[in-house]
Amino acid sequence: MKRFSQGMMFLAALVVGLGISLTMSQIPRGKNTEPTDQSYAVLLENRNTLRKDIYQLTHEIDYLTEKKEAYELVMEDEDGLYEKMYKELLRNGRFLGYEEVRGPGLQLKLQDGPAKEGEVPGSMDSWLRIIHNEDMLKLLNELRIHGAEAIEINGQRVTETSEIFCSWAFISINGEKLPAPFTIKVVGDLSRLSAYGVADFTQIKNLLSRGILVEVEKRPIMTLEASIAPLTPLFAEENQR
Amino acid sequence: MIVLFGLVLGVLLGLFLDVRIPDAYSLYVAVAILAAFDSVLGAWKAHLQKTYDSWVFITGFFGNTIIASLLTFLGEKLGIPMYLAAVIFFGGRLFQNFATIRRSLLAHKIKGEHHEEV
Repeated sequence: MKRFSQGMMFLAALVVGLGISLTMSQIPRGKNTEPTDQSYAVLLENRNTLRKDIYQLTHEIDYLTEKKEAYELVMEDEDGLYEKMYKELLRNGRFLGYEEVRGPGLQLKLQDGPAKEGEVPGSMDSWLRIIHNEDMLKLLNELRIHGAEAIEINGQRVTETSEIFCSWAFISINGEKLPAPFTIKVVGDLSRLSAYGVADFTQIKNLLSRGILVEVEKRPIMTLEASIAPLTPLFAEENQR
Repeated sequence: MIVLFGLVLGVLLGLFLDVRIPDAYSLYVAVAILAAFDSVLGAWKAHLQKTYDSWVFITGFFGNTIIASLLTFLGEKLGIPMYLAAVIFFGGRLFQNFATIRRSLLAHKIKGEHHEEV
């Protein structure tokens, strides 16, 4: 028991000695760090000021963190908005002919009919078996009514700014002179377009009756190439009102 | 003597050990050391007076240290130097204990009475 009590006291004294030594080693040498009553009051005031500063800075951190999170949230929304706008731009580009379009539809091949035996050039028979720009305009008009969303003729996309103009033996579309035969690719509502392809009293039937060769083919998927450069209107301005 | 030996050994160990107490805790450690030192001197005194009890010493050693540290902590939070209460109390008792030990040791020496070396 005596040894135990002695051991206990030895250990306790060792701990105290260790503590004294470690605490003393923290104090810079050659410098009186013991505060006087006056300096203690000043130090206490400084400490309280620092605590107040820390408290304010902590609040500021909270406020700035909240602000940052709010900005991040807005940024996420803006990213979404940007994505939406970009998708809309692409969509508009596709339907304005700036970008290629894919989808189901019809492919029509139109070719001038063969000349009849003994046909006089420039005669009515000759006129009837040749494809004219008016024929193409009527055909495109009917296709649009029957579900066409995008149309291409011999690689040229037909949009609202595309002209379809007779240019001697060619038809001019988007400034390009296209010779016969004409391959018309139409992307749109396949069921309506298919029904149109076999319906009576249509432009297709009219062309066939005139001796023009028309082939109609259903396509589950096809690609219409982009062929129009983005428009830069010179005179038309957006109404800012 | 074993107490003095322990103290000296502890101080030497502290000098050679590369242990750094964070500045924020230096006051706590200082007050805790004072409380612990008071307990050690109290134990020495009790030993000389043959009233030593290990449990009283152990509970006093840790209890006083913890209470002194808690007072310091509370004082820090309230902005009042409450650790001074511990310093005054343990400091005063430390001197009292030391005086008792000194007198006891001297009495033993003068009277030539046998006492157990601690």
